[in-house]
Amino acid sequence: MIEITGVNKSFGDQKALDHIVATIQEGSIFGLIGTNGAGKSTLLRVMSGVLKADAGMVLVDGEDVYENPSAKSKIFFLPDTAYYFQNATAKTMAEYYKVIYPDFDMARFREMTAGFGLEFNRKLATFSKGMKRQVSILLGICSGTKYLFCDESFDGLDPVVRQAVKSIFASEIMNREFTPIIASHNLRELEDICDHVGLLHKGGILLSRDLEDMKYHIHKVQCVFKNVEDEEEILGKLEVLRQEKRGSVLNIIARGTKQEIMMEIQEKKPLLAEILPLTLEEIFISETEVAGYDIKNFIS
Amino acid sequence: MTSRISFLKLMQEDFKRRSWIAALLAVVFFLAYPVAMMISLDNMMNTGTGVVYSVEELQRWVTDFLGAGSYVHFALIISTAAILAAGEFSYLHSREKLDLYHSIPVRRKKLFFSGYLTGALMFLAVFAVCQILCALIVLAKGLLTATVVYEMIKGVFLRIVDFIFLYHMCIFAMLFTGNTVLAAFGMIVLAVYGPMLSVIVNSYLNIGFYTMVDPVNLYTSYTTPVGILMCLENGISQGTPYLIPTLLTVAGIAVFFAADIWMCEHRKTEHAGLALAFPKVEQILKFLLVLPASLLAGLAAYGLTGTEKRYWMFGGFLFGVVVFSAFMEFVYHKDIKMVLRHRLGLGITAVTGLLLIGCVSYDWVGFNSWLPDQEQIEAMAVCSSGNFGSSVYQVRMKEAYDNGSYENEYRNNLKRMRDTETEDFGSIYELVREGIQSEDKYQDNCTMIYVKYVLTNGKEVYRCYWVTVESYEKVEDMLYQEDWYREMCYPILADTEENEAENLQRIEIGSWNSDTIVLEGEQAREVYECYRTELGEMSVKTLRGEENVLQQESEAETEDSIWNDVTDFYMIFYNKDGMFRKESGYPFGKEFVKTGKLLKKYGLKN
Repeated sequence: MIEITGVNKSFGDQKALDHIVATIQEGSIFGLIGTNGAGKSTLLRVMSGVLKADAGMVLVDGEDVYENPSAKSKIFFLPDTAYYFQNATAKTMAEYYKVIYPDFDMARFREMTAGFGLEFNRKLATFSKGMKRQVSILLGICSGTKYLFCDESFDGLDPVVRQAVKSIFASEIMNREFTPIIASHNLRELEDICDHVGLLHKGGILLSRDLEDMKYHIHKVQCVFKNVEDEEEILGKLEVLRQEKRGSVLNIIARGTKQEIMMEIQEKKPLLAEILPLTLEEIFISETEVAGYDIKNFIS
Repeated sequence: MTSRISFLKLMQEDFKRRSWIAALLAVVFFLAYPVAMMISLDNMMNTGTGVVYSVEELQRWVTDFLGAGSYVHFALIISTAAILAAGEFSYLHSREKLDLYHSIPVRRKKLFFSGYLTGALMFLAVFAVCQILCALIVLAKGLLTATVVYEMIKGVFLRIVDFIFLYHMCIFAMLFTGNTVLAAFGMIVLAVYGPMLSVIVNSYLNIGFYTMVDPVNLYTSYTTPVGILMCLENGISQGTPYLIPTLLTVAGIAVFFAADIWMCEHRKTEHAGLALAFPKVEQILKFLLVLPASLLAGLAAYGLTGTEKRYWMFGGFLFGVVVFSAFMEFVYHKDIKMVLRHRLGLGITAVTGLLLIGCVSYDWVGFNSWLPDQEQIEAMAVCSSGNFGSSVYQVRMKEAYDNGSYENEYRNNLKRMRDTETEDFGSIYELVREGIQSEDKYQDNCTMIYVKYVLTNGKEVYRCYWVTVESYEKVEDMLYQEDWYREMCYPILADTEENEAENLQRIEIGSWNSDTIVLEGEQAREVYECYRTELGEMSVKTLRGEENVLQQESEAETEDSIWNDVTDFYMIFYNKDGMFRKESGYPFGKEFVKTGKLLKKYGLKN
């Protein structure tokens, strides 16, 4: 388990992380979602011991991670721009990681790189961005660490490879203690892989919740009421995160269980009321709008 | 599962990344040591060139090449330390690299030591191999003796100490800064800051404190690792005391090492790529760099205009403050809009510099007008830069030859006054008063005099003043009656054991426009005593050329005269132990009748 207790981090006058409190359970795939500049990369760097928190600490299985080889040996960090040694090949990088992470499975790494069509002895400098990403993810998986921190690691991967990686993640979780933490702003790619999400905004955690639980407690309803008064009454009664009206059709995203929301709506005997599928993106937009980050301000 | 990562494996991986540095060092050291030695020895042992070197001379060359005092090899060590420090620790300047190195389960201190030892071992391995090759060459050439081996071992040990000290200094620069270009600049600053400061301070003092004689000794050799190591090298190679440089070397190695370890642990990862890894010291560093640089700009403006107008100094300084401050801010932030930030710091720098310049330029401290009361003075001495004995130049050859290096005695009028003074200094005191009050300096009718004060508190103070030639000659006429003054002007007149003719075995005499003659035994002693006597009996007027008492003699000496165009000559003295002294600049003209006749008799030609 990873516990983040009151972590603050500033860069000069810029507050990047503001009293972050979160818990990441083992055996789940944790998605760290955030707006641009929310602090995702900073948080991952603090969690992996690259940066020292100004206040608070990150505990990995009860141990403070900073300058603690014991705690860090359980972590493999994949930054958004991975560094490879000059003239390095996949082989030489694997040999290096074998020294650093004794549980590194060289045979499996060789097998997986071959499976992904990556040449083992070819210089990484000649690889494309996506190929380099694949190598770094495979290095992370084969290191055998308990936690894998991925910072925008799925960017640059084609859909087939992305799916393959997701399958590997799922397989790893089933076969051993493995908890990937994936930071991304691409909600669609996280939606079908993560089972727990943390939403970062302006250096603070807006929410940290099980994804199913989140979806269980936020719903999108499309409804048509007979009159405006009924509409207004419903909007007053429900905890509305977002509303949109097109003609007479009202779309509401509200907090609450499906039953609670429908019960309220049905009382007004609407002409139409149905629950629509809610994407993670819509949840994200709704929650951040409430927090004051109104995406409509950025589009004309 | 956690397990300790093998330190040796870490070093091995580190070496794999830096093997290009080892290859480069191997090539450079190979050329600089065994190849260069082989070429030089082959040339020197090639009898076909007509120059024959004795075995002792070849051995001396070997010990000079491999031992202490070889500045070429010292420069090579500095470069090696800089390259290794930059190669091993440049990862600290890259955020991408630090994402890797600081996320792996290795403590930063362990990473530091891995890089540190890898770099050090690369140097030691390459250096050791080259030294062994050199030893084999010396052995093959038949030059190896116990003394040569001893000197070689001394040289090896010294070079290793040089490397360690400079390596620590260069690592300091890498850890202190956030990018490698600035680190390189930092290495240069660490190496030359002290001496540069000394040059700037003394330049200003020379302008303002015009009665100052000695440069102010800020002991700046000891403020930089390069200076300390050069003092150590000089001490070991020339046999002079080197306890202080040794202690400073040990202290410097320890201090830099401790600072390096502290910084590696406390350096923030996010400061990679910034100008400084510890931004809080930006303004302090800026002050320490901008102030001397601006003072230098003031000197340059003053010197280049050649007008000796003080306002150029002030103007140049202020210009320097603005420009260098802006430059430093640009280096820190890489943003042209921020170059005039921290105006308070800029103001402090400007005010500090203006006060310093004003204090020196206008002598607010009264340095130039200082004249103690006569009751506070025990004795004084004076000499002129242009009168009797001012061009006499002494070289202690024997010491220089034995030390294996040519050491010239410092040609300075202060040395002439070192062991001479008088308690009857009234006339000198009045001369000094005239010099202080005089507004005329550097005029044709003026001469510069050097004065030594021996105070009642035991302190010795030296000053220089400009006085009229007439005033000085009046005083000199009186002083020349005193033995101490004559001996100060012409050292061979001193009644010392060294000057006794009976000790003289041989003398070489010549001038710049005549052949040298070598006289031995009785002839040498005869000419020497004759010259000493004639010089000792010469009156001031004759020495100044105001009296030509020898006119009838000079008329008799015509075409074969040795006096044509001869104004001074040099003498090289030999006693039973060999050559021990050389002196030049003594007067020699028509007035030295007897000496001239003797020299002509013994073969001195024009």
